[in-house]
Amino acid sequence: MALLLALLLSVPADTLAPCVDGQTLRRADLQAAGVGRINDLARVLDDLDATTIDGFDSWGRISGSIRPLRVQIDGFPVYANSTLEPGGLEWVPITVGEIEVVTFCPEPSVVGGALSGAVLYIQASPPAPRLYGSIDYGNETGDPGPLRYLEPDRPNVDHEGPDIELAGAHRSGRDRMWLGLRSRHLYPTDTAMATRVYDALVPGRFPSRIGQVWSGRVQTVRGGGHTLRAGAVRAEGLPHLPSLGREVPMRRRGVQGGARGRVAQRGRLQLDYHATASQKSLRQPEWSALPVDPGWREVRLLGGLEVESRGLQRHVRVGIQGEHLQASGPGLRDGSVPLGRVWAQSERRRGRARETVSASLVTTGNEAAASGAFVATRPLGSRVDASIMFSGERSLAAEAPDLAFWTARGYTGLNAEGISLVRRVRGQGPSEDRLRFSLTARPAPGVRIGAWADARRQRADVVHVTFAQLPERASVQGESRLELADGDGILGEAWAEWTGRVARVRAFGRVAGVVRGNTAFRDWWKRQPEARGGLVATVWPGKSLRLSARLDGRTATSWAGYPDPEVPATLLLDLHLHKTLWRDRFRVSFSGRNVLGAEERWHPLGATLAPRLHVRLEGRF
Amino acid sequence: MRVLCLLSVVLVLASGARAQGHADWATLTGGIGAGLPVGEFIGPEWQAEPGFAIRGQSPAYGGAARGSLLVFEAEPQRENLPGILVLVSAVGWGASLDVGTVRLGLGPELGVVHMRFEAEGGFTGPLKNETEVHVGLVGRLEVPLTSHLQAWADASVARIALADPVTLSSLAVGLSVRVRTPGWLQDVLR
Repeated sequence: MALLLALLLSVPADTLAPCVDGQTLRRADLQAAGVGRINDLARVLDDLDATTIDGFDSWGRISGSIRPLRVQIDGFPVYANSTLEPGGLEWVPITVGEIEVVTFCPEPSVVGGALSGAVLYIQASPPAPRLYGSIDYGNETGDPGPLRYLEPDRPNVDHEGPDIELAGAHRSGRDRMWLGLRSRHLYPTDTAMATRVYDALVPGRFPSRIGQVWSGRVQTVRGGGHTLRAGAVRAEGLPHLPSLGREVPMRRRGVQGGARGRVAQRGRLQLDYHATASQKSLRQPEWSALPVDPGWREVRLLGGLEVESRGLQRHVRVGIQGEHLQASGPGLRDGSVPLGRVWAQSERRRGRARETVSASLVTTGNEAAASGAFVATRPLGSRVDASIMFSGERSLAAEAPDLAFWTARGYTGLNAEGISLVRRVRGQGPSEDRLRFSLTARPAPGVRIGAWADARRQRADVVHVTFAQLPERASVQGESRLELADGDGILGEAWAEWTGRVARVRAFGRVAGVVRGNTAFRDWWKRQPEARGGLVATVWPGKSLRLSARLDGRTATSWAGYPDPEVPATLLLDLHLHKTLWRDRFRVSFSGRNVLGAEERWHPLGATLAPRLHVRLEGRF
Repeated sequence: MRVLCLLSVVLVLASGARAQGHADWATLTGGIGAGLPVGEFIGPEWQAEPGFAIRGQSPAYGGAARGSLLVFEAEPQRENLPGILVLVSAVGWGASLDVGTVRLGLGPELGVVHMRFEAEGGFTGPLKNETEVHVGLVGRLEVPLTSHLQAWADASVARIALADPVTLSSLAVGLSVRVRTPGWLQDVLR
């Protein structure tokens, strides 16, 4: 009974990632790979081509996708940033120590009421320890040190500050509780951005991004099973806003809370509910020297019901959801965005064979968009599985409103002299049609190989910004515009994995290319590498020691419209050592990133990251 | 360098062959001695002075896991430069080989160099301290004097990853004591 209870609480069935070709990393994998900060997830997922400007906060971008990455924690949607900013991972409301499994699913499925493209699922661990704490400290190489006494003009660039996590947990017979705090200190002072950053600060203010993220969770099996999850963010920072082409001082506040669980169950039928509320605000801090005050506040309410029929072979879900986003800010005429969704998904499993049909409809009342997907997996003999997926996804701009969306409604909080913010007036959001084939085989014990090909037809309005200054002072000036990117692209990947008694090796290689498309579409695809390959090796010579190496190479990218648009190809080698102590109560890890000293840069306006060492100490009691 | 790599391979193989005879974390060896950085530090503007060294090691994973600290001062060789108190801390692992009663060891290490710039007489410069990563290679020789006491000598080469990477070579000699690791500590380390 206790085991059943533990299973119920640790892996809620409806939060399991419905993936065919997904990449799953469990806690041991994350530890071996040196994941010490949420942002590190972008580094260890093969199909995430993340972009970062300051080196700390990555905008997750899925290979070949024109839609933004969606993140779910325990089945709850995550609204880490306000809708004015690109979606980053830095403020995702979870502590690293809480993460049990991370799964990246490339194919569409109904998630959180919407049939959408790729999703990053984060599954929190059962709160086993009563107390948890960690400190992660990074040191980037290349400081001048004593050389500054000889050459005072040499810049001294500090990037990394301490990242500290603390958490407490409580367990009783039917309940689990977890309360965690993550505190970050980062310094956006790289020479590529220093001019922009210091221009934005009052004299004497040192540029820093300081923030705390709270996460809380309560799980109970009482009354059919319920999960409550809450998070809060309080931060002072300098996020980069692509539409302005520069960093903007911000005082960030945010809270999010939600509940999900079972209302009723009768035989195979069950009725589940989910509800989420979030509030975000952005203000101009007193240390800002920029003449812009976002003055932004947004409140989102979301709730829905889902009926499930769980059979031995067939699993059917039908749901309805309402969402209301209410924003306020300078000049905003109408900050109300109502959305309604209905969806249905049927899944049939027989042995290794599996078929999933999904459909969803979203509407604002005035406009609507429908999407559908079909995924089928069939065994070809005893060791090979083949799958096919085709989907048509349509979306509304109101589903993922951005600065251009709000500017069209009159928002002026980020308007500055010389900047003409672009307006998104079309109601339709990105659309994508996909056809995907994949093969997975187990040719020998411990060996898995696979390959997939994915053809995509995409159509989306993308923002083209115009810069008027030198790269180191770059900020947007002049007329920016929306361009309709329309075209077909194709991606293909092959991978192989071997797991032995004391080692595991994984290799992958991926290519991406445009089949046809207009200039805006080709420019958009050039922002991702045409080819990427990697080799990950993990060795565990003893039960308490793991050594890991990750070699990751990618071709150059090009960002049309930027003053210096080329981002060079790079070959990154990360090395990690992870040791557990005192029967897993303590962990110490050393992570060397970019140890070959390659030119590691992810954005034309971004920092060039030198080799760096992270030391992480973790305790669980 | 080729000779060092070849020697490393030989020692690793030899360590593997005799690893079964040395249980991981069964003993602890702690030592102290003189630390002798060789030549200049950073450049001709600072001269490294003799200091002291602390070493600790224990058998692990077919060789020996090590921790070390080297402390010395770098004296400025011209005016308007601060003296530097240098602390070189490192952890590493090394393969070892017994030749008669003498034990030889060689392996990599990783650590940080912490430098404190001394501001005397009101002098203040652009930095008060600096911490930087280093990687290195350490060779060790141990000669037993009694069943618990050894004389040891280390020779190390560390590459400090400053903006212009610099090499720090050092020698250290001293005495060390080997004791059986307490059970609770073995429990922690395993």
